[in-house]
Amino acid sequence: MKRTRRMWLTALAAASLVMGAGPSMAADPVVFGYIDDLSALVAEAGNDSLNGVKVAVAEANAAGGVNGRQIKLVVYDGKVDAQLTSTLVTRAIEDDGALAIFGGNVSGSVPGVIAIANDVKVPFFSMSAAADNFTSPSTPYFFRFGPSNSQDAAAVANLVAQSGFKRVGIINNSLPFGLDGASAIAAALKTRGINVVTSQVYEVNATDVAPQVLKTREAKPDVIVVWPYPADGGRVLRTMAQQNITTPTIIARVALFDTFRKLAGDAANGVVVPNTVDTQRPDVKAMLDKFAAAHGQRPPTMYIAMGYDGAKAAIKAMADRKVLAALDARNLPAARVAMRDAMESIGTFDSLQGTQGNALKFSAGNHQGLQGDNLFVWAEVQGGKLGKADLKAFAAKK
Amino acid sequence: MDAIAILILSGLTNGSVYALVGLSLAMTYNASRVINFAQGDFVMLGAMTTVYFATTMALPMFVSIHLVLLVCAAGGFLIERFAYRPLMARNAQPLTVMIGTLACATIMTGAALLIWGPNQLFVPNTFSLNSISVAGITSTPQQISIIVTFVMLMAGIWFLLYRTRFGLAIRAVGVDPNVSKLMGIRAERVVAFAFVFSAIIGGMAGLLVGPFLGGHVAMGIVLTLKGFMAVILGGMGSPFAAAAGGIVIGLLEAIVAYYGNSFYAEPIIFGLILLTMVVRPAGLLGEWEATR
Repeated sequence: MKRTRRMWLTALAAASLVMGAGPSMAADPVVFGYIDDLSALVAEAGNDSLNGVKVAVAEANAAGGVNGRQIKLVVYDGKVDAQLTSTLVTRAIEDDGALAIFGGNVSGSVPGVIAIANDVKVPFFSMSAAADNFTSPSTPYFFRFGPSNSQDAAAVANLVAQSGFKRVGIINNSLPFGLDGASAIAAALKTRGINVVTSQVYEVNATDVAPQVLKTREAKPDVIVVWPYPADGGRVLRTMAQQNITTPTIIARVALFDTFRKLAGDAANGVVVPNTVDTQRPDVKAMLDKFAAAHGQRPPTMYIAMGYDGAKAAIKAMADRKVLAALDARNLPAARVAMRDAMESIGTFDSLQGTQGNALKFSAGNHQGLQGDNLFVWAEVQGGKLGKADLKAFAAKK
Repeated sequence: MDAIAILILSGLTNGSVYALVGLSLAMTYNASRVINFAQGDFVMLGAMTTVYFATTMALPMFVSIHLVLLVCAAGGFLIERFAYRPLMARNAQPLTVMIGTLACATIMTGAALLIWGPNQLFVPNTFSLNSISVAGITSTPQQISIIVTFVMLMAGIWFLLYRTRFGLAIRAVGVDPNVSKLMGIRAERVVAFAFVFSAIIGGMAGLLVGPFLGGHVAMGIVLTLKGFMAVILGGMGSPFAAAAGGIVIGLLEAIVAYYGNSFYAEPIIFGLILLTMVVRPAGLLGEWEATR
């Protein structure tokens, strides 16, 4: 009887040892926090980027994780609310133990997150918020994966110059994206000796933008640049059509969204849009197919590519020896710092944005990943759909 | 001349939207002495249910319009029955009741998010969005319908308030609910009517403005704010004063945008509201309406 009891106790002890060893043998998952607008004005961008991140994370997890560690994504909706976004970022860092933070499609919310990221020393992988001063000068923990306003502006100014336009009218909304974008475009045009004949601002929720469009018409520009959010962009183009304006028009990347094209209707026909996603690239096509299978068909927006690029870069940096050592030692603050350092020391990361072979480049003094003149492909809206822009025909409209 | 006509049309369009929200806020306020912070969300509900009935369910627009207004009326009824009335029965302060309506607004936004998702949606147009020229001014039937609806509603409300016994009852409840009860008026029914009627006006505004603004779950709060500005500027005492406030704001926005820069429109309008409150605390038309 005593022997049987001893055998039972031995078996129980062995079982509990095995059970106890379980969690420490399988490495703990690493948390990535995604905080962005998922339900308000910039929700399409926020959700596209989030799903891009999800595709990259799913790929890594399916391949066995990073050194055996699975990645867990925690997601919060910051809406277009800077204070809420900051609170949720803090929650992701402190309560969820996020190794890195993703988000940043809302320019107004980014400065607060940059302050938190630099203060708590957590890498922040930012998407499309384009204000130049986020990366100029760079701050230690902020890394941007989308184009900056000055890069957008340079692309617009180059197109205007190459097309031979001399008089530019700018219409933009009163949000940071519109204001900063318009001022960057005006500066870029000035360096090319091109005159901005009128610059009009409207309130984003105005039902009618006729006064601003009227002033633009009266200035007689030979090309109009519109820097809006999706719905108000639709209103501007409809009003332009209403006032019989047929001037060639360049519009910000928001025209990549379905919302814009539906709201603008036929008034959007012929407008050209800068996009960083070249759907002719085989790797881009493959990723978008994978994306569609997991999250449904979406227009090939740069927001998807930014999310994917950002997450791939983060996963590569996470595989750095020092990051893994800190994670093994359960030293999360050290792992975050090591990850930041890895972003700079690795420096070059593959990118689905720009032309084939384009790469993201980070260094100690540069946290703006996209570089160079090969970032943009021009899309054109026709019949509510996006196609490749015919820039010769665009120039010929002058 | 062309420019002035365009500015007036633009000001009237924007102003009519603010005025519709403002007058619906004032209708509820006059009957219940409560600002219904969920009022702008009925504009959202109007826009989003138009998407649901006309696009998702593919119902004819004529049927969709009736269903949209029915849903909004039901929403107004629910707020009155399950937020306003229980709080008043417990002698809640007006501020508490207003917070109650704010809670309703948040619930409506959350429910809309679950139903329609986060993206901005294209709201099908009731009237054509193709340009037409009237007396040299180019507009769209949809845009003109906003102004026409506003004018017709104003006329209808005036008739209701000043030419019917029920209107007299509404005004009596607005002056003193307790005394009106002593006169045999069923004040609760009047308040319920005000909530339902205001919700219908909000839904109508959403139906008309949705094709321009795009349907979005968060669009209500901005419109509530604009409507509230209209109410403060025009005067809390009457729907007509609030509507006038909305039109003034719309015209000012257009004028400032054309002759100055729309960036300064809001500071100028808020400055005007502050000035009005100092000079005429009851609003631009508040005292005149109160005297009537």
